[in-house]
Amino acid sequence: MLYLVNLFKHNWIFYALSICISAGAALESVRLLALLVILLLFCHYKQLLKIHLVFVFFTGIGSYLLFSYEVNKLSVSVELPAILTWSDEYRINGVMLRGFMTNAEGEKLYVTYEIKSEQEKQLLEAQQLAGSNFFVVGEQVSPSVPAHRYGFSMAQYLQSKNARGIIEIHQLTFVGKGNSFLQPLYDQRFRLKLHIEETFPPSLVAEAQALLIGLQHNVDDELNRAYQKLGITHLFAISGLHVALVSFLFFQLLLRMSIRRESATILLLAILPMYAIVAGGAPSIWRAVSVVEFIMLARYFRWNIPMDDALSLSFIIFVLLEPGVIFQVGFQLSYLATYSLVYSSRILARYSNFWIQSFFITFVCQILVYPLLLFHFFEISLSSFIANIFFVPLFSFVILPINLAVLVLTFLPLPFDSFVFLLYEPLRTALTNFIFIIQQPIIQMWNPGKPSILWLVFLYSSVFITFYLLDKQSTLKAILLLVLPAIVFHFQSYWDGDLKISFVNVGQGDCIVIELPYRKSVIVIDAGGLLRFDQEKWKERQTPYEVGRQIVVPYLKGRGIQSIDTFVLSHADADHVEGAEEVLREVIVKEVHVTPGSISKPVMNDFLQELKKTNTKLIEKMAGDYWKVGATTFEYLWPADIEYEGNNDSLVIMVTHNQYKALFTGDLEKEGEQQLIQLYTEKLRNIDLLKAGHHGSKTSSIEEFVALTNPKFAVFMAGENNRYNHPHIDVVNRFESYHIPHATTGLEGTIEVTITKGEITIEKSNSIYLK
Amino acid sequence: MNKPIQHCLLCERELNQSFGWEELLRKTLPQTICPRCEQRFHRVEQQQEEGVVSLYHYNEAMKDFLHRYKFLHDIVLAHVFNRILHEQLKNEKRLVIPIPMHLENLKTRTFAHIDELLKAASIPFAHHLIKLSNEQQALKTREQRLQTPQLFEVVNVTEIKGGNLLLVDDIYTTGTTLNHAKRALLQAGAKTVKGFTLIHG
Repeated sequence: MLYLVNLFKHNWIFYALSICISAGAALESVRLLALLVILLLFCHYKQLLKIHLVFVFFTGIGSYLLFSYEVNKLSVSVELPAILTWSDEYRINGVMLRGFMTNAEGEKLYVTYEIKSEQEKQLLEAQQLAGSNFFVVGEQVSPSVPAHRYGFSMAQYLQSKNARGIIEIHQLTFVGKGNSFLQPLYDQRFRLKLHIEETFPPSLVAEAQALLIGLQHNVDDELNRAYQKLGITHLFAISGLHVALVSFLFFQLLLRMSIRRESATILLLAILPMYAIVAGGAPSIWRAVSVVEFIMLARYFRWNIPMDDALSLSFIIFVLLEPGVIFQVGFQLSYLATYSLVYSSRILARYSNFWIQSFFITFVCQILVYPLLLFHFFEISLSSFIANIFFVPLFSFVILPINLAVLVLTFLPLPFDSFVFLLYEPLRTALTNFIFIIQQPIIQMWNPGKPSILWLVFLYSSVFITFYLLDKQSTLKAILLLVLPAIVFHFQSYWDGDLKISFVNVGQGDCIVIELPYRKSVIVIDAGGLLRFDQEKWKERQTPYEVGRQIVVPYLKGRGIQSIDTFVLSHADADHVEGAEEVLREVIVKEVHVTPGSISKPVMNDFLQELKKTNTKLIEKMAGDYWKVGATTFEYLWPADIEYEGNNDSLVIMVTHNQYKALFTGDLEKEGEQQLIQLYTEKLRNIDLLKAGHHGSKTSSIEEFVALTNPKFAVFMAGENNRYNHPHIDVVNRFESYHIPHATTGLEGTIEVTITKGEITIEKSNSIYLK
Repeated sequence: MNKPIQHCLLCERELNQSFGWEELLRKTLPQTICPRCEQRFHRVEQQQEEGVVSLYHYNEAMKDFLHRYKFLHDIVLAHVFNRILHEQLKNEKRLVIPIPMHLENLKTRTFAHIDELLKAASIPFAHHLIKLSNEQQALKTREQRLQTPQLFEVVNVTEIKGGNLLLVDDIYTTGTTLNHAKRALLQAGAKTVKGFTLIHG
C-alpha cells in the first residue's frame, strides 16, 4: 500500500486533469477528448512512468463513458405526475418557489412553482421543505434562451447542477416527511436559519446566515455588488478557512475534555461531513472538508499524502459524483485558488512579513483565476489585491469568530448576546458604510470583455509561465509575462475596424449599442426597463428583476465597454430609461443626451439621482444638433420643439458612416413620421438600417415612411409574447410587401449588425443557442 | 529508476520534497539527498586548473561518497548529484565524452560510473575513447603518473574531427587522465577539448 501511495505521489493531478477533460467532453463536445492526447504528451514529456500514461489514458476514457451515460439520462423527459422530494437548494422569492427536487431514482430536477396565495406562502416559508415529499402535477418546459451571448444561460446552469428541467408545477401537494438519515441535518440547518433570524439584529442576519450556514439568500444585492467590486465575495463562501477554524476549535475542545488524540481525530472525521451539510454543502465546503479528511486519514494510516494529492483526490471524487460541477463557477474558483496556494507554497514561504505574505496569497490566487473570472464576469477587481490584504484577516480573525461566538451565546439563557450585539453592531454597520464608500469608483474594475477560448488559452499560458518564473525567482520577467499579455488582451477590442450596431434583447423595450471602428466612440441609445406596477406586499420579490443590471450591463461588460461616450435617452418612458440608472452605476458615461423637457418626468428621477454622483454632462438635444467622429456623423432629426409631449417627441437619430445610413426613431409615431418625411425627404430615402418606431406598433411605421426609407434591414424591438402584441401584424406585412427583411429582438434575440467595408453581416443571438 | 526516491540516498532520512510550479510544469530531476548531506559537500568557488571545471572539493563526505559509489558498487548513488550536474551541463553545446573504463574494470565494477552519473542527470553523451590499460591512476605515485604511456585510443574519428569536446571525469587529481585523453583527441583532429570533473582532488 505504501508503495502505491508513493507511486502516485504528486501524480494525482494528471488523473484529475484526465477526469476533468472527460467530463468536459461528455457534457460539451466529444472533440474535447483531443485534450487527453495533449495531457498524455505532457505526461510523456514529464517522463512519468509508462504505467501512469496507461492509467491516465484509461481513466479518461472510462470516465468519459460513465459521464456520457449519465448525461444521456438527463435528456430523457420527466414523467409527471410523480412524487418528488425537495432538496436543500430552494428559494422562495416573491410569488415564485424555485429549486431542486429529486425523483424516486435520486435524479435532480429543477422546478418552479407560482405560489397561489399569501397563506400558502406563509405555510411554505414556515416549514423545512428539504427532505419533504410532494405530489407534483406539472409539465416540463424548455429553459429560456439567454438574452445575448453574454447573458445568463439557464440550460448551462441546469447542466452544471446535473439537473433536468424545467418542471413548471401546477399543483404541489404535501405527502409526508422523508426519512433519509440526512434529514436531522437538514432540519438542523433550517432551525439554525430561523434561530439566527430570531436572535440576531436584522442588519447582521444576512451575514451570520452566510458565514454560519452558507445561506446567501438574504445578502443585500447592493452590498453583494460592493463585495464583488472589492473582490472579497469569496469571504462569504464557507471554505477552507471556516473548516480549519471549526476543526481547530472542535479538536481543542475534545482535547480539553481529555479525550485521547486518536479518538478526537476519528470524531472530527465523522463530524466534518455533517458540518458540510449543515453549512449548505457548496463546492468550496466539500472541497475543504474532503481535503482535510484525506490528510487526516492518511496521517492515521501513516501515509505521507501531500496537499496537492489530497486536493486532486478530492477533485476526482467530486467530479466522478457530479460531472456537471466542473461548469460551476464556485467549484472552478475554489479548486483553482487552492491549487494555486498549494503549488505556490515555496513562493509564499519566501516572505516572512505577515502583510507581504498576505498580499502574495491574494496575488497567487488571483492570477490563477483571473482569465476564468474574465470568462465568467468579463471584469476583475483591481482593488481586490489591496482589499484582501486587510479583509481576509479581518474576516478570518475577527468577524467569523465573533459570529461563531455570538451564535453560541444566543443559546445561553443570560443576555450575553445582546451585550455583544450592542458593541458589535455599530462597528459592523460602520464597516458596511466604509465598504460602500470605497467600492464607488468604477475605475477599480478592469473590464476588458469576455475572452474567446483562444484568448483563454493564451492568457493561461502566460499565467503558467509567470508561476514558473516566480518559482525560479525571476520576478521581473514573471511580472512582465503576466502584464504584457493582459495589456494585449485589453486592447483587442480596439483593433476591430468594423462598425457594430447591436439591438440588445431587453424584452419589451429599446437598447441599442453602437461601437465605432477601433472603439473610437461608443454610443448607447436607451437602456430598456420595466414598467413597475404596485403589487401586494407578499408578492414582491426580495431581489427584483432589473433589465439594466441583468441584461444591459452584462452585454456592455461582455463587449469590454467600460465607458460610454454618448448615452442617448430617446424619451421618458420606462421601457427606454428605467434601466439607465443601473448602467450609470457600472459604466463610466461621459455625456447624456435627452429630449427637451423629458427630465421633469417622474420616471427619470432615479436616473437623475444617480447622475448627481457622477461628472456626466446632461444635455438636451433637438433637430439640427449633430457631431462627427472620424467618418461617422450623428445627427438628430427630431424633435423640432422644446415642449415634451410623449412618444412623438422622441429623439430621432441618424447615423451616417461612409455611405451607410441607419435611423433610430425611438417611439416616434405616425404624426412624427409624417413630419420627418416632409422635412428630410432626401435624407431619408433608401437608408440601410431602420429601427422601426414604437416597437412595431400599428401607430408607427406608416406606409409612406416605409416606402421612403425603404431600409435594407428593419428591426422591431419588442418582447417575446408582449402584452401589446408588438410588432403588429399589419406593420410586419407592410415591411414584407416592400420586401424589406426584418427581425424582432423578442423572437430572435440580440441582433448584431456588423458593417465592414461595403459588407453587412447580421447575427442573431438565438441562432447560437437554438441549433 | 523504477521506484521514486523518498529517502535521502546518503543518510536514509525521509526527504521532504517540495513540489511547486517548477516540478509541476517542467521535467525535473528528483531531489535525492537531504539538505544536511548536501551541506557536507563543499563547492569549488574558484576554478584552479585551466580548461577544467570542477564542482566540489575532495573532503571526508566526498571520500565517503566515492567509496560507496565506486568501490561498494552502490549504483543508485549515481543520482546524488543529478540536479547539479543537470544544471551545469544541460545547455552544453560541446560533445560530452565521459572518460571510459577499461573493459576488465567494468566487469568487476559492473557499471561505468561516469556514464551513470550523466544518465542520472539526463545529459546525453557519446563514447569516443577506449582505455588501453587497466592500471588505476589512484594507485600510482605522482612520478609514475607523469611517465605513463598514452592511456587512450580514439574511435569513430570522423565524428569528432574539428569538433569542440568536453571530457567528463569523476575526479581531477594531477590531470594525467584528462591530459592523456585530451592529447589523444586533439591528435585525432578535435578542434578544442576541455575538461569537467565532479571533484577537484
